[in-house]
Amino acid sequence: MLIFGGGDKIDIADKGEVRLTARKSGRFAGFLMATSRDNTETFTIKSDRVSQLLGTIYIPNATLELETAGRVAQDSAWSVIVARTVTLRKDPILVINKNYAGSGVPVPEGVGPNRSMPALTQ
Amino acid sequence: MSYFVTFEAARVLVVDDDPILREFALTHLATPEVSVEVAEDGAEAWTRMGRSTYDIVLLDLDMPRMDGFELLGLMRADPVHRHVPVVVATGHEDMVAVDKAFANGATSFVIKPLNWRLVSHQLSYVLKSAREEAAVRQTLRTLQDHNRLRDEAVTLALANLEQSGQALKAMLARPEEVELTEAQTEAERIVRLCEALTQAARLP
Repeated sequence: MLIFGGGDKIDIADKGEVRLTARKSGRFAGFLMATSRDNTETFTIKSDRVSQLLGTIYIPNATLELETAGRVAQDSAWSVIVARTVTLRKDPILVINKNYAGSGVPVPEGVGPNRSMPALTQ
Repeated sequence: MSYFVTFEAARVLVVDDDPILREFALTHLATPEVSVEVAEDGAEAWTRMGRSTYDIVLLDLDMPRMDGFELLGLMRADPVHRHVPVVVATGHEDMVAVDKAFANGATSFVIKPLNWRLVSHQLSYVLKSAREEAAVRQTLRTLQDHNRLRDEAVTLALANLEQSGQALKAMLARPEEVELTEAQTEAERIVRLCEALTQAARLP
């Protein structure tokens, strides 16, 4: 799991190959990335080789910016993104799967199947 | 990694409803000498304070159930926690909240997003100042106690001196009836009282 403080961020550049899976147990199980609420940074994915983001990206007051022409997170059984803003540039395909059962990664309370209906807020 | 490497032993309470921030607090502030406890809001913090005492508190202001202002009010009204230094954490744009927090008894503040190195230095400095202030308060209390005791001793000595003076005056009015030993005893008593008063005057 990647935890970011107030002024921290991650920038996955052009050819960066990333496959991430959230913790399956223990504290923060189900979380892939998380920031404190005072984080208002921009997390960027510019690589077209970010094929797996299995888990919850919880960056409630930050921006997730995808700037790639390729597919992102397509190999993930499920993904949940909680962000202030999600920005897509260069026509990326952000794949949000919802195969919650069977991945071994628990879904945090309040998101995914634990919500009755998906809702876009703010 | 901790930045409290040279920090004196302390018990720190971090109060914030952000679980990630609490996690950072535990990671960045705890050392073998510095124990860190966390609470998710003012109500939980107040419950913890009922069970134990802390040397310093890092306090978020905007929290559910009981916010930082209310917790500050409770602490400052409580004789046990009245002097515990409280560093409030707030956003850049929230200067009104900072003013209100100081009015409610905050000791210092740090700005979010938190730079944990600066937070550590700030907590260290505030704690050191608070301990020095506590030492000064203790010295003041000791001096006040000494003064009170001295005042009581002086008052008693003056009363006795006045009594002896009147006795001596009565003897002088009828010297033919006074036994020598009686006069000597009274004179010695006056000398002793004068010595006691002189000694009291010389005490620091």
